Formats: sequence, structure tokens, C-alpha cells
Amino acid sequence: MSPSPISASAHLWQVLGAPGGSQDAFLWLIVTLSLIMLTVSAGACALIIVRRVGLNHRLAERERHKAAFRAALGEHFSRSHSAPDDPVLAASFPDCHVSDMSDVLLHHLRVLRGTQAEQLRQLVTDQGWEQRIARSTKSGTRGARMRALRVLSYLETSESLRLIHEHLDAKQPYVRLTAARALVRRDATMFLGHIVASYSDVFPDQVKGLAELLSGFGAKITDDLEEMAERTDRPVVLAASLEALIMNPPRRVRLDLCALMNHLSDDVRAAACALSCVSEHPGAGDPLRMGLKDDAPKVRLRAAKAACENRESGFVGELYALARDPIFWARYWAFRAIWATGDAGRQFVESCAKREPMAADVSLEMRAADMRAGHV
Amino acid sequence: MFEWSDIAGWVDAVAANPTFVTAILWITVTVVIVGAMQNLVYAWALPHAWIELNRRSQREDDSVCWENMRSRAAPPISVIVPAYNEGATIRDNVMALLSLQYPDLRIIVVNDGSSDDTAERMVREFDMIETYVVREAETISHKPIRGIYRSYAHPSLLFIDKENGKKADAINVGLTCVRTPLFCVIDADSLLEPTALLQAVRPFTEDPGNVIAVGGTVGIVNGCKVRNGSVEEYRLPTNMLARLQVVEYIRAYLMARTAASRKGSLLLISGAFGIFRRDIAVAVGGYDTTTVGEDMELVIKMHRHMLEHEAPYTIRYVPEPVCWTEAPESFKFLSNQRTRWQRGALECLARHRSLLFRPRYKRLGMVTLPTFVLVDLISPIAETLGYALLVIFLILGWLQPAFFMAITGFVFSFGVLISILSLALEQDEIQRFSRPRDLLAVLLLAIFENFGYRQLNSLWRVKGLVQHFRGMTPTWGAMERKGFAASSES
Repeated sequence: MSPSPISASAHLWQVLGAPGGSQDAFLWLIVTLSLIMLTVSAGACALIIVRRVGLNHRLAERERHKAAFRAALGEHFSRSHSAPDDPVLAASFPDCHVSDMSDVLLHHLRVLRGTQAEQLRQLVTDQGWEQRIARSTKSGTRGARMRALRVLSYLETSESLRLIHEHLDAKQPYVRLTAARALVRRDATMFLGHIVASYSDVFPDQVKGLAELLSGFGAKITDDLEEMAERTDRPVVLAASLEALIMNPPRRVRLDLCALMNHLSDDVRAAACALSCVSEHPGAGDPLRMGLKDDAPKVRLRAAKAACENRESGFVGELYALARDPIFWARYWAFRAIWATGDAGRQFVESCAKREPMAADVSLEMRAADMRAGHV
Repeated sequence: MFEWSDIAGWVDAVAANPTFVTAILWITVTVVIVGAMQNLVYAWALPHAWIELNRRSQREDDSVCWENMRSRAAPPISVIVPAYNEGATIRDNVMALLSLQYPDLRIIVVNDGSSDDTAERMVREFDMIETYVVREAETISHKPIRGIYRSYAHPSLLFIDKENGKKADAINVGLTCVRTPLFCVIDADSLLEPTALLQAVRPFTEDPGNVIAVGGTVGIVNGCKVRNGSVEEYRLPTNMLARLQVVEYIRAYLMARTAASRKGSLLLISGAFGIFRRDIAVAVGGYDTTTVGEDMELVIKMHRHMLEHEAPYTIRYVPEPVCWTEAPESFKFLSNQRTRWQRGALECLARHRSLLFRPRYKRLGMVTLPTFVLVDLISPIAETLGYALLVIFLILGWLQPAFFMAITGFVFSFGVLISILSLALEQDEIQRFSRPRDLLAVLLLAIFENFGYRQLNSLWRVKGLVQHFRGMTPTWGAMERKGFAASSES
């Protein structure tokens, strides 16, 4: 075979209309770029390996120190007669990274009860660990800061409370959340307003999260929640206050729930009609009835679920109207709510079964559930 | 009689034909341009992935998970588990799911007409009784259901026995039973990390109105130490083919999907692990049962639905929650898998080709799908053509050694650089490889996968393309399974 008079690259160059000499320059460019890429790759490889070896070494060291600290603390509490301020014993606590220390302490603070828990809190203060942990809330990784805040939430010093409160303004949303939770744990109701502002600032659309946080205070903030609901102009905060009231329902609320049923926010209307099922309220109208006829599917669904829990037969008319709703689950909950009102409701749903497929479905499902309950 | 001189003469004649020469050279130019554009896409993806990983770092996320675990902010989730002939492992897999850390979790196992004892085992092992549940099946069609069962021991566990359809059909049946705002789909033969759901749900809690779907990483379990349904220690697979896939998965998930997620261009959430908003999935009719790329099809349909309704939305990828799955260890099964993936992608593209270059579909139509066509449809053809051209040049004596070496060196150096930098990303954020020995092995694999494995992949993808255009009936094909215990032992 005779060699072709043309070379692929030369022809390519002709096709592209480039001057002949530029081919060599192109080749050099390609080779140089390749060498740069290979050098970067080799450098990156070496860096990755060296970094990993270093990291492994540091992690192993930290793990060793943590294990020693954990063992020493465990030993301390196994000897119940030891006084926490015993200088000999104090010297026996090995040093370890503050994040690991928080981790170990957190475990013990959660597990220990009574005198031992008291002893541990005293130990944390006396050994100067509190100061170290307090410092670590201001620097380091997000996880380490959150751990430190959780340790502080178990202590009973005013300094730790002040520090936790400071972190309500932390940049990191989850650090704020931990601080807020820590304050709830400390029963710091005086910071209620700040907690709400801090949380809704970083999680602006989270109604349930805020409500759950607030419900941690229990029934003692009922009045505060109602006051907040009356004063706030933020629908999320208003809805969260109502949801928190549902979680710890007072016998009676002073809020005008019927007026709230005209609020622009779906979340507020949904919460208001649900709250009306668990607490007495002033006002002439019936929020639940209004909820069942609401324009928003979300509110109608919530109202139907609330009616299902309420088991009152006074809403059957509205529920039956809702059973023709275009939203599938609204129809479902409407029939379930009718079923839940008692024997008459059951008979009514079963009588609808021939003409309403959803009624037939609900009837079958509820009977199956009853059978299961009977089996249990 | 055969004579070499005849062939040489023929080759000379062909080489001298100006039409042939011009055609070859234009093909070469096209291949080079396509290759360059594909590499530009990778070069674009890497810094974007790095920025995204740093912006939404998941380091030390255990504490965040703890906060979410305690919070009602984490919305209830139903996990749909389609199962086909999983009798041997179904109990352990469901037990592992039941032990997942999540505040409000329901599990729906759907037996897709298995020919083994999957259904009997489910009923027996979980103390189940036949029941009836109302299902939202108005927009979703599926094969008939044989029975629905609920567990006494685990009230959150629902089991549906249905006639054999396909995986998509089984998921659709599960979807009709979902009452939670979110649902997650995982394969019955996959393992979820205990905190996977808590981590994957974060985008939904942080941006509740906008996020409609979240995809997580699929990791290769071959070689890992598995205990009680959880990966205890990450190890590299012993099988070379599985090892090569480790590098590939890191590149595909950590680099490509993270970058796509940053730009709102995520087209694929792996069928092995994804979380979706129920209302949107139901509104688009659930999974398509007539394609082998049903996971991608659903995501494109969701994109399309939101864009057509002009509703703001985002689809996110989070790198840390890992769903572990077994990777094929033989060429036969790997070839089947890759061919099927390519066909699935092509089927999706064919169905949604009307979106291409339509400004109405914004980034999806103008950038994402065209890039997908370039990288997934044209590039494998171009790469395979490139290798064919190499042979032609060699035969015709056109190959200039210096030029060839330079271009080849450049292409492979770029491939190696991208793979190594993907691993650097992995070490910066995830740090799954803790043993330097494993890390070194992966780094070496990142280099050597460019010589052989990459070419094979291109061939398999072209095969998928050919099968698609020949209209061959798509099949899922069987997949060899060693089981997690075997993976752990090996």
C-alpha cells in the first residue's frame, strides 16, 4: 500500500482555511494544555492523598482522646460516692476536643437523672468545661456549634442562658433553630417574641415547625400565644400560634375565630376552624361550618378532618355538600366525617354507596378498619 | 484469488477519491466540535458543582437531621417499594425501611405479580390481614390489584399484591394509595441510609412552596460492610467492573447532577431513590408504563407541567442521602443496564421533543434538553465515530503520529482531570473514602477508566440508540444479585 499524498491534519487545516504554520503552533498548544492538565491531575491526586492521611491521623487522635474522656466520665459516675469537686478526680479527666466533649456530655446529660444529673451539671461548671463549650458556640462547624448549644440547654446557669439567647441571631438557620429549642427546653418564656422572630426569619414559610417549637412550652404560654395571634401582622406567625394552641388546647380561647375565618391566609383559616373544634370561643358563627364551605381546598380538607375528629352530627348537611367536591380527598374526608358521627352517619354513607363511588369506597375502608380494630 | 495488492489498490483509489476525502474530513470536524462541546459542558459543570456543594454543604448534617427528626416541620412521607421476585430478601429490606429515622413514615410495598413467594412472605412475616383502602386512581391507570393488606405489627406498613405490569405500573399502584404530601420511591433491593429521608426532605422544608422533587445519590454497595440493613463501613468493590462504576457514579452524581440542580436543569432523578410531591405526580398521571426510562419521563413531565402552568418550582439534588444498590459485575449485565438507560433516555426525548428550542419552556427547552441531546445522544455517536475514523486514518495511512498523539493525549488528559477533580469534590464534601488505599485505587481508576471502559460505554450507548431506532421492544432484563450479605462478605 502506497502512502497517501495527503495527511489528515494538513487537509483539515486546508478545510478550515488556516495558514500552514499554525498547525505546529496548534500542536504545541495542545501538548502544553495536556501537560498542564496532567500536572494538575497529579498534583490534585497527591493533595487528596496527603490530606486524607493527615485527616485520618487527626481523627484517630481525636477518637482516642474522646474515648479516654468518655471512660473517665463513665468511671466518675460509676463511683457514686465520689464528690464532683474532688481535686484528685478532677485531675483524672483527660483533655479532648471540645466538640467531642460536648458529644460525650450530651449523652450523659440525656441519660442521667436526679442527683447524678445534678452532679454532672456541677462538674461541667466546676471543671471549666462550660466556658470551653460556650466559646465553641461562636466558632467551628455548624454541627459543633449546635452540639455545644444543646449541652448548654441542660445547664442551669444564667451565663449559658444568655449565650443561648445570643444565638437566636446566628447566621446559620439550624444554629438558630437549636438555640430556639434550647430556650424552650430552659422554659425561657420571656424570650418568646425573640424566638418567634428568629425562627420565622430563617424559615419564613414554616407554620408547623414554628408551632411545634412553641408547643414545647406547654400550656403556660396560652395567653401569650393568643396575645401574639391578636397582635401579629404575619400570617405565618398567626397560623403557627393557632396551631400551637391546637397542640395544647385551652378550654376556652378569647380569639374571635369566626373573624379569623375571613383572613386572607389559607393556613390561618385552616388552623382557626381546627382550633374551634378543640376550644370554646366567643363569636356567634361556627368556624367549622365556614371552613367546610371555604374556597380553598386546603381549608375544606382541614375542616373535614377536624369534623371527622369532632364526630358531631350537626354538620352533616355541609359535609354532604362537600362530598361532591372536585377535590378527591375532600370528598373522602367528607364521607369519613359523616361516617364518624355514629350509626346514623354510617347508615347514611352506606345508603349513598349505590350512587356515590366515594361513599362505597369509604364504607368499605371503614368496615375493614373496624374489622382490624376488632381483631386487635 | 486473494491478493494484498488488490486491497492496497482499492485503498489507494478510495483515498484518492475527493468526495470520500471531503466527507471524512467533515465528519472529523463534526466529531471534534461535538467532543469539544461535550468537554465544555463538563468544564462548566465542575465549578458549578463545587459552588453548589459549598453553598449547601451537608457536612456535620447529623445535628440538622436531629433537629428535623424532632420537628413537625418534616412532612409525612410514604415510601413506595415496588418488588418483583424479592422473596428471599423482602423481609430484611422492609425491616430496614421500618427502622429508618423519620418522624412520620408510611411504607407501601407493591408486589408486581412476582412468580416467587414474595406476597406470601410479606403477609406471613408482617402479620398482615386483607383490607381495603380508598385510592386516588382517577388519573392513574394500572394493572388489576389482587389484594391490599395492612400489618398489625406495623400499622404504617401497607402491602399491595397486584398483577404483573412493570416497575412503573407497581409504583403507580403505590401512588394511588399515598395520602402524604410527599412520596419516595426506592427499589426493593436497595438500602437507604438511616438518615437518608431526613436529609433528602430538607429542601422541601426549607423551601416548601417551590420544591417539587428531590433526588439523592445512588451509591455502589458491592464490597461494603453491611449489617442490619445499614452500610457499616464503606469499602471499594473487589470486582474491577464495579470499581470502575464507582468513579463513574461519583462523576455522574456529584458533578453532573449537582451542577444541574444548581441551574434548575435536573432532568433525571434515579428510580432507585427520589422524593416527589404527590399532587404534582398525580396531576401528570404518575409514571409512564410504556417506557424503560420512566424515572426520567416523570421528571420531564413534572418540569413540563409546572412550566405550562407557569408555576414557580425547583427540582433539587442533594448529594449526601445515599441509597445503596448493587452494581452489575459482569459485562453482560452492565451492557444490558447501559443499553436500557440509553433507550430510556431516547424514549423520553422522543416523547418530549416538542419542548426542544421552545422559549415557552424556558431553560428546559432552550438549554437543558439541547444539552442532553448533545451529551447523551450525539456524543456517544461522535465518540464511536471518532474511534472508527482512527481506524480509517490508520488504514489509509493518513495518521500523522505527532498529531494523533497530541489530540489523543489532550482528550484523555481532560478526561482524567475531570474524573480526578470530581473525586476532589467527593473528598471535600462527602469523604466516603476514608482509607488512603481505597482513595489511591479510585484515583488510579479515574485515570485508567479512560482507556477501555469509557469506549465500551460509548459502544453500549450506541447499541441502545440502534435498538431504539430499530423499534425493538424495550425490556428491563434480569439483573444478577448477590445480596448485601454477599457484598459484605466479599
